[in-house]
Amino acid sequence: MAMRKIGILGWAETRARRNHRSRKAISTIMANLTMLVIVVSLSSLLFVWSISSFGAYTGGAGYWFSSRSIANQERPSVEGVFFSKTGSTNNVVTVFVRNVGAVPFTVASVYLNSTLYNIVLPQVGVSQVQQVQLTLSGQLWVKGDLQTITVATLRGTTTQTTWVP
Amino acid sequence: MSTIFGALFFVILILMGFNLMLWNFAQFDAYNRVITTMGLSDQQRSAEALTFNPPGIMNTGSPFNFTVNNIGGVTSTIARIYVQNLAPLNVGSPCQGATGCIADPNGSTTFNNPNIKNGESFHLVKVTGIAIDNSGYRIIVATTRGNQFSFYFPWPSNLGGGSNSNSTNTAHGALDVKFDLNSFNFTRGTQTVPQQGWTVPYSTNVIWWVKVVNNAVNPIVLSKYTSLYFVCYQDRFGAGAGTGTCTETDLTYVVDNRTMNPGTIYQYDEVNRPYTLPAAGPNGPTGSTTVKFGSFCPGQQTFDSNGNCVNGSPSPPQDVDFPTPYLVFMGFFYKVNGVIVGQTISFVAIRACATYPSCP
Repeated sequence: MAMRKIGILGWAETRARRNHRSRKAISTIMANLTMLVIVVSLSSLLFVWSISSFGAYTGGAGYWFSSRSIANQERPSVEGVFFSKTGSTNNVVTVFVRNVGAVPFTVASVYLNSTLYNIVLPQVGVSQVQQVQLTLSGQLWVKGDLQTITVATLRGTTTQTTWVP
Repeated sequence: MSTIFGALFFVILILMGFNLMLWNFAQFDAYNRVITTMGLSDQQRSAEALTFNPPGIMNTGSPFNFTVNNIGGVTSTIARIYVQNLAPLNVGSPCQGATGCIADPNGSTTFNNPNIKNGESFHLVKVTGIAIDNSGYRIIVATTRGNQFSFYFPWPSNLGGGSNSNSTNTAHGALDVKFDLNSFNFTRGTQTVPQQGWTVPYSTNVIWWVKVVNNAVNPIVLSKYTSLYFVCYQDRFGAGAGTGTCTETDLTYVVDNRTMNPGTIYQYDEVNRPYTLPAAGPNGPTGSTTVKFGSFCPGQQTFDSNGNCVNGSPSPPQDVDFPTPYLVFMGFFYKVNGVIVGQTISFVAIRACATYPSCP
């Protein structure tokens, strides 16, 4: 029995000595450095992410603001429409578009009674007038009937007017 | 140390956030400035209102003039004037085709006095370089703010002037009867002063005196076929009771204005002595004209033994044959701007009485 107690105590003493050595772990400096590295690396990641996010946001929002600002300054005005013929066919419509806005625009398309007529025209300067001549296809204008004319610019501004030949 | 670094990064992130906010504010500010500026521009645009005065264009040929009123809230500037001929039958008239006529301040075809102050009336604009005739035109006045105001020439009739309980218009055409107590009269026997024609003696020759006005901007020349058409209908309870169903119609043609009564009828000569109603002016019709009716046949015609109208003279007088009420339709045929126009003016009724002047 005595031999056995001595054996257990000895083992306990040995463990206690070993445990006492392991509780030393790493030093305070190392711990601080480790935490510093972690904080710096995570902060760097956050910084990079936020920079890219803000950049993307400002890029998209900036484009939206600038494009909408310019588009909002467009004011096309259909100030005159002449209906005429080729021979005896009522198939020519001449539209006069004035720029009464603050920026130049380009007429991209003209719709007559919802029928699209793609046209290529130079830019219309501020306070300038552009003449657009449409040769109708698939429809004719009818004297006394209401004709709806829609003018669309490249930036998406539209203006709709109605005329009676 | 890590606290310091952490705080530093935190401050950097906060500053970046502020920067983003400030950038957003700047963008919104710029955007809102555009919206405000354009909104103000739109507001001014919607405050524009121009009206035109009859007869629209004051003279044909070139240059021509028209007057405009600014009843809006801002001064307006005319940018262009578009003139298009709308008369399909007048091939060869000016301002037809794809380009019409355009008066531009910078062109050879131009106009003066483009600026119209708000509240200004009868602002005169002279258009030079476009010669217009009497055919139909649409004139579009475009302003620098992008509005369009238009009027038609010749000026549509009956748009101006009002009416009251004693005088109202009976037609919507160039020729008009101001329907009041003194517009419809007659003479009989040797009378030279007409009396109101709402009740008349039956079976008695009469001369009708009808006061008409011209709303058109061109003179009107009456045709010899201008006439009054009387349609009788039975008056079962009044003076016509017991006369049975009335089936009579009477046609009374225009006579010369020298005719005072049925005793002496002067034939209507539409070539040498026509009724010419003067053109309307800027303020409406130019006076009134009394047109007389009383002939059985049109123009220089009489009738034969069968009752048919034939060439000859003098024109026989006309009457109404039954003591009953009559509906009176005025059929006016006339030339305006060289075009023959027919127009019916209704809404007149008379009563022919056996006991005239007592006509219960």
